[in-house]
Amino acid sequence: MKNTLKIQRAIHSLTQEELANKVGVSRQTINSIEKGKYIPSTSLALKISLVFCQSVNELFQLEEND
Amino acid sequence: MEKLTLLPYRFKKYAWIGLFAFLVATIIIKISGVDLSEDTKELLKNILQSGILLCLLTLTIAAGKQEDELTIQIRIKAFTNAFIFGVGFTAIVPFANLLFDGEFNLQSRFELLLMMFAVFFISYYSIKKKTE
Repeated sequence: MKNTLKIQRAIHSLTQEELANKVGVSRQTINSIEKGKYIPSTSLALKISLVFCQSVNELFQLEEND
Repeated sequence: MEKLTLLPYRFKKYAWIGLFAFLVATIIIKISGVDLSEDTKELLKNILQSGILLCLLTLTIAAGKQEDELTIQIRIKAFTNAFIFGVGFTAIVPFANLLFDGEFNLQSRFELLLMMFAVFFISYYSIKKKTE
């Protein structure tokens, strides 16, 4: 699963730490999501989408092998 | 993600202190050469082993500094690995003992549980390292 978290973070001038604090997880979790090593739960994905005012589908996209 | 019921983070510190104390006590008893009766030795051994196991259990179920859904998922995977190892070990080792020693038995429960804890910690930290 790919995502546009890093781009959105840059657009909103947020650090991983700041985004992590906003959604209530650790910075390592945000880092893992950005690298595609961890797929967030629906509730976390929704919280992230609220921060960036984007739909979950815009932030996260399925890849062929998903 | 469902939340796991874990002990507060401060219990990690207590567990480390307890583990250190029990290990030091074990070493002191081993090297001091105090003449104890067999019953007392057995009792001391059981107390120390139970203490060590309780401290290790506390370490595994105490929350990390920052517990979130990623660490919960890693914890669940590590628990699963330890469980599978424990069951596999319990099922296979008696056959291995039968083959090499001629006796169909399992090693002590203490050794089995120690190895399960080892599998848990190795799994937990290696999965954590991989996902970071």
